[in-house]
Amino acid sequence: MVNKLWFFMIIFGIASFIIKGDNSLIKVITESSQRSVELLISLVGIMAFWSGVMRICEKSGIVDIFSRFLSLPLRFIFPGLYERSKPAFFNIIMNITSNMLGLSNAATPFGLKAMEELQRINPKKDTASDYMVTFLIINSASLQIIPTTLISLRASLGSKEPYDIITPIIITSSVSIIIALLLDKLFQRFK
Amino acid sequence: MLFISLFLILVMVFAYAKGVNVFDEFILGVKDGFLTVYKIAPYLLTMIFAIDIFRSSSALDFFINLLGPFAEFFNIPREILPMFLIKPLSGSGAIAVLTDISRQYGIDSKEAKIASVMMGSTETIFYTLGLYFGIVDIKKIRHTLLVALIIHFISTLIAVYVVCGIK
Repeated sequence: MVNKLWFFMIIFGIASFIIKGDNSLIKVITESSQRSVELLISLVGIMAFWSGVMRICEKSGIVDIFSRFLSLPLRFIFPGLYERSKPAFFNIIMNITSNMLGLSNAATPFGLKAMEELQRINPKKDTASDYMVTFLIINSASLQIIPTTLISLRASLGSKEPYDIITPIIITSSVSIIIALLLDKLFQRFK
Repeated sequence: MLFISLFLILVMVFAYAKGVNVFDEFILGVKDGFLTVYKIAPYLLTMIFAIDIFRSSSALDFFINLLGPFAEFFNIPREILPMFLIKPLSGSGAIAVLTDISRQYGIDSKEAKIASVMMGSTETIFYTLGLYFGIVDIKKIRHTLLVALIIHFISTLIAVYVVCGIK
């Protein structure tokens, strides 16, 4: 899909240059590459800082503390899962907590493991179980408290207030996660 | 800002008290940071090329104008439509779009702020669902994609309202 999108943008873009009789295409490409490399260079420093912090965060076991707070609401959201499969429940908690703290590199392995554990207790192996659907819908609402990449990117783009977006993001994600769960329950009931 | 400072202190003190070698771990993390940028760099450049060509040729404006009435109906500024369209498909595409919006309007502009909030509160749905369902070989995903797309739309609306205030 990204393949098609990229191809479409390049072809349509270049064709528009030709149709308009505009011959600044090479200039655009040159400037674009220069800007991208400048962006990457300024991104390295601030990303390095946040990755350092997140590494300490990971090693300190702070994720476990956060995950304890999540245990109760998640038992409610995934009714009966804790009793049926502790590993699935544990991996879901770790995935959601890691995502919340912006540790997306750590989150993916937990998420994939959670899916495998959920598949183990799934009666219909080719159809997503209720647990799986709920889990992925929560993931789609993307609840992040410390969006490290985004903060770093905004800082490299010269923002005076790169952190200002944290509160709006938490509000947006929290509201959409509640709506997501309601929609999920609604679909589960009527389908 | 205070929140970030408190978070940093909490993490450092907690890790130190737990006996973590904070200096060494930080260095390993910095190494990860370099690797992350190294890993995303090719994708980012590739996406930025496409978006810059698409934008400068005014092809982007053409499509945005097509979607304009839809955006206006929901009070979504049309400048952020590229983020709305690309984020579900590609994370590096989203970074490229934010870079583009920041160049057009400034990173501290309303447009860039909305785009940032969208970037942080939506997910690369198609990629995530493909990866997670793919690994366990699930073919029938029921209402997952539908709800994920509805949520993508709702998150966009909330992002606009949270940044601009409710009209």
